[in-house]
Amino acid sequence: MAFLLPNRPDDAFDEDLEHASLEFKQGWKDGCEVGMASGSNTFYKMFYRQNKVDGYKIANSPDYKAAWGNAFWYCYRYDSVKQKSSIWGSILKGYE
Amino acid sequence: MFMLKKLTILVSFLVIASCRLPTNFGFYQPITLDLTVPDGPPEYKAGWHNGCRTGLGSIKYFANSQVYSDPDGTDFGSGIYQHDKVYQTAWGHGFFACNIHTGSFVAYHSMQKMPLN
Repeated sequence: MAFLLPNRPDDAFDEDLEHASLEFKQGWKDGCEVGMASGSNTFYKMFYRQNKVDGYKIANSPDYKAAWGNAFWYCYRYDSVKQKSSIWGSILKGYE
Repeated sequence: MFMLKKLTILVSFLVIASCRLPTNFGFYQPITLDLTVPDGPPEYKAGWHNGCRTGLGSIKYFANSQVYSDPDGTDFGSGIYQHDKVYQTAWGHGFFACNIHTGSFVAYHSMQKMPLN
């Protein structure tokens, strides 16, 4: 139900990942959750786990591993860049 | 108006229901940090554990996390897994996940900006 929270990074990319393997999609989803848990403020952290990773897939699936790593940094940056800007600052000059 | 009130209560309940229950009291680490080692092969679990411990203890964003600090600064266990790529990958995952989570927990608090900012 965390998708009800406003302005969340896309952890699925349904169109772009339409032809991706299941493991890649799962890796992106898991990595994004950890990234969101890392980059968000104390309120949003209540909704995400920072240990959402399948160690067996990391060890055996290059797709899962690559997707997890990219999603972690993408979603971490998506959230953290907002936290570094004040409300008026983000409106007048964008996110820092 | 009554329907709007019911809808608001329902949505609020659904959002709150998706919150995670804390797994610790938030004394030695942030209350939102789940220290449960994720499932995986033994090398992965060892790497995650050591990396997360290093992330908490070496860079002391959270003051009480000094209980996790190692005299050498980093925790690589006994060294038995040093050659293992899965261990090293997991160490990196654990370090960044725990370290950045703790840093943002401290830095991105609700009072970080003035009300009119």
